[in-house]
Amino acid sequence: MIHNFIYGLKGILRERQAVFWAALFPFILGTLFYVSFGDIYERAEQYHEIPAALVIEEENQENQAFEKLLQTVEDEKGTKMFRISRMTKKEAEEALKNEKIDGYYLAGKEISLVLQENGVNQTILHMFLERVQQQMSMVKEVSARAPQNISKLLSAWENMPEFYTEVNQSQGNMDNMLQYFYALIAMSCLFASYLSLDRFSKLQANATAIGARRGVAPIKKSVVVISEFLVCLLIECVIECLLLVYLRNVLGIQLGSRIVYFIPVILLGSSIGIAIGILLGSAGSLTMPIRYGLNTSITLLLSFLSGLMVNIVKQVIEDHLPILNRINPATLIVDSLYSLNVYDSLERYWRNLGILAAMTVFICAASILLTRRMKYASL
Amino acid sequence: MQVFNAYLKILWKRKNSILIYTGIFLVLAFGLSKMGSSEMGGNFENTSYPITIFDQDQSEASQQFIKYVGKNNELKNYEDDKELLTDQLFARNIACVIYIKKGFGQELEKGNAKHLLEITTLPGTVYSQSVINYVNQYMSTLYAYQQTGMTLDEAMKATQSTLKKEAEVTFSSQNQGSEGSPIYFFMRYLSYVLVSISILGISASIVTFNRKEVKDRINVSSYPLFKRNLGLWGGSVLVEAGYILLYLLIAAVFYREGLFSQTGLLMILNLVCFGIVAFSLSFLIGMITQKEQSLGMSSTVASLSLAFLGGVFVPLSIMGDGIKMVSHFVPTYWYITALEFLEKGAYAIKAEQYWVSIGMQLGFSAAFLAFGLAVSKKRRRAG
Amino acid sequence: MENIVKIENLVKRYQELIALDHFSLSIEKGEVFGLLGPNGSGKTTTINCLLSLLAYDKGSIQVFGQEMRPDSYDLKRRIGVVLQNVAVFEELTVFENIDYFCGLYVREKQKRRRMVEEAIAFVGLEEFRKMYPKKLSGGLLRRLNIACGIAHKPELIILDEPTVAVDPQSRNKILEGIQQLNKEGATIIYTSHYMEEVEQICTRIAIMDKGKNIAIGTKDELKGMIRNSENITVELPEFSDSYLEEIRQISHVYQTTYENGILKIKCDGGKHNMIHILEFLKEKEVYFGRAYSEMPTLNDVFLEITGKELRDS
Repeated sequence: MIHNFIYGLKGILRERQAVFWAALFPFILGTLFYVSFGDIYERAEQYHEIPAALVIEEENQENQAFEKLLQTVEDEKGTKMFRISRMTKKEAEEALKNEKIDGYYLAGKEISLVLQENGVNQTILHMFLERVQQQMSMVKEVSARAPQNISKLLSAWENMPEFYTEVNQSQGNMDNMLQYFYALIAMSCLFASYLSLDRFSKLQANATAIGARRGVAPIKKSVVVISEFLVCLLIECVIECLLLVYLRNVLGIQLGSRIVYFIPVILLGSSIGIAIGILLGSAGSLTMPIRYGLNTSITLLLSFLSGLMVNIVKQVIEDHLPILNRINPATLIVDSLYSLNVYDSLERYWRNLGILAAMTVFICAASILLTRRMKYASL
Repeated sequence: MQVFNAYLKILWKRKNSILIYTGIFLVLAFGLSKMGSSEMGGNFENTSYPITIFDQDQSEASQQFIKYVGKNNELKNYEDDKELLTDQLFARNIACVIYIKKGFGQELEKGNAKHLLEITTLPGTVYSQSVINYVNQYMSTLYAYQQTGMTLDEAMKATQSTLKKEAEVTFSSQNQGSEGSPIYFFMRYLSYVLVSISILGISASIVTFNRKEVKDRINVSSYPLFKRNLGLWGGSVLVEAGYILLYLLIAAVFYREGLFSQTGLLMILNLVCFGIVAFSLSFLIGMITQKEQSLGMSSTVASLSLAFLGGVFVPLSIMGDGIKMVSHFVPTYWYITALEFLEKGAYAIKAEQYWVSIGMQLGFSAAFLAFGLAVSKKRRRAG
Repeated sequence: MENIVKIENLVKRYQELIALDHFSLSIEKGEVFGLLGPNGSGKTTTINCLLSLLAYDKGSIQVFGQEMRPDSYDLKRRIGVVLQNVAVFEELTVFENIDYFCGLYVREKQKRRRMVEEAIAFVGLEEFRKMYPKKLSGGLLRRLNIACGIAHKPELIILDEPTVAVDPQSRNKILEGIQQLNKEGATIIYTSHYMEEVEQICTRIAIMDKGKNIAIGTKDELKGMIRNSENITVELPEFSDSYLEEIRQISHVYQTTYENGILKIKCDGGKHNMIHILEFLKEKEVYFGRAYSEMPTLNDVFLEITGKELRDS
């Protein structure tokens, strides 16, 4: 076993192209993800001051009060809601066209809002104006009905209670772009299948001459399978650990705090990737191009279903066909990492790992049975 | 013709693996286009958000609250399961979960509005801000009316009436926003599929052709290098054309309406240009790669990189300015730009932008082919 | 003598094609047994069945007196195989390749090390021990292939066409090496379609054609099976048909041909046939160039039995 392991390790490390791609590609993709949308949560989802303009066509008390309000209004957390600039109509049109502002208020006899397109910021601008106008309407209504209660109205606005308590379901990082990084780790684990496919195809007497030579040697197939498995596992785990360090420490991706629990995920994730490669490598009469073709297709499909390309896929499948998520190894890896991040309880985490372990054992056993006592119909 | 014929024979021998790829990527293309058209997170043009409300009070007051907040957002029903709701929040299937506490109506009757609701949302995000605005709008109006002496019923009626008032909004120019038609999403993700399948089919065959023994045999013959490459190009173009025709056929069946229109025809032209990019990139990769084993991974890296940088999976509109600068150097960016341009209906206004994108794609193709030829020449000398 | 290998009534079919047609043979300990036949005669199929790499339809195979199965590890430990295709790892050096494959048979490190060094010396690859297979010529690669198969000093060595595409120097070294291994006690099974090699080293030969064992015996026994006992060749610029007919009347001459200036005569038995032929030519005043006599080859045996040349098939 050790003899096979040592030579297997030597052999695999000297296969530069295979190791290069297996090692490098997750780093390339991880970096790509990071520069493409790593800061989307901060940039596009997190709330920032909305750039807007105010065009005053008629100087009156109402419009001046509105201007003051725009400049001072804050949200509950004390962040200023708007970054307001006073402009002429022409300037405002130009700024809107060049996307320097999201919209502008036109304050004449009435105040209206001018936008270029729909959007979240535009909605907030709209709602703010609506609110102001509604409050003015409230004042008019109360003045007409019970003018003595105006002060109570104003007092109520100044002393608004907290209507709600905010509860966080999770202490984890809710940036859903993390899904991409989890899917990347999953895909990287599955790509261990390239290493094992190459190694195991060399075991097949009907695929390579080396396979024939090994086939006549007095060594149990299970010993060879296990030693080759361990070689691939070692290489892959090293790659995954380096990837983890790179994502977390170099790119600064907040993967979650319980990093130690990532290790079993990496171990089992790599194992299932290797197992898939073993199965394809042991598949009797398929030619090498077909084996590689199947390998690429299967890993890509599984990765797609786990949310590598469109991050909501996993949840859509969970809503409509959850069984698929329970048997897709890529999704199991992603879900393990996700639940580590978002949940306190490890129940879901262990469940996923259990399924991964069972699948790995099943696939490896099937491969051993396929190759054990193998006699070929033709060589 | 010799090389062309031989290349086609090699391709025919590989037909099984090519068929496998074609099938799988067809599934991917469909799956992606279905996913793409149901995105929430990527489409910031939505102004109302899906939310879930659990009414633990079941009073008139809580119903009125739900009626207002639900009118302005999309109400979704889920089980009250913490894990499930967290998953939906993470996936951006809902923006907010609101619990109306028991005693909501009673407390309001007493004039007490503090902490009657429990909200779980994505903290500090624009989604939470938007939904919380609606909540505050209703509750503050209701509370304010009550403080002026109205009963709860009167206050609720007055609140509904006040909140019906809408602010006037005008659009400064023709609204070019678009939800994204099905054909748009299909064409968008097809760019990723096309690059992948081209590398796996075309590059793999070129690698076979470039095996030392075969290459040496051709090199010592009187067959000119350029003719050899021309043969390879011819075969590759044929394969690429085959792929494009196949996917267009599928589009014609499932997205007929979108395809057979002026916009649709321009999309087809855009796709054909991108097909040329895919073929030329595959040619280059086939020339550089020495072992077929590494093509699977290199195709994944190349296709995913081009797709992400080019704005296929994550829309260009939400990418940072810095990365968008880099994207200009990626052919997929120009393909997507042209596609979005057509989808917005802007061709009628500024057609030249579309043609610039087409030109850029062809420019990339020429560059890839030239580079591939240079590699071919170098490898011939190096042996 | 102990039977090392016993094959009885072996049948192997590939759909319609019968690759082995009730093939039988037995090989005794200490023999260098040659399996000779043209391409496609079933030599490699026989070897693969013998090694339990290939499933067969009927028959039995016994090695060292026991039935050979894929999990017969004790038997496999005593067998060394040098397959037709070079089976070495591109990523390992010459030394590492031999060490790896020897290690599948021999666990003890010291012993294995010694065996590997001996194998390297045996095939003459001392200078190349740290090189990768990619850098070796065809002949050296074949030597490495052999070293990987025999390093563990097996009792039975099977070599399947080990000299294909090999330079003459390497070829001679290989043949000498095989004889040396046999001297050291190994039983050898050697397959080839080069009759000269088989004639040179094999003690007993089986000739195969179309999956059948058509003749078996020592080379003398095989040659004794056919009518031909001597081939005489004379170079003649001209020769008339009537003279050809007259030569046929000479005692022990049973076949004559004249083509492209070469007169070929086959004789069965008799002594001094060459002298009789030359005397005839002198008598008829026929001018001739070179003239020589040869003993029949295995090719002649094959030709006479099957009507085909070994190399034409």
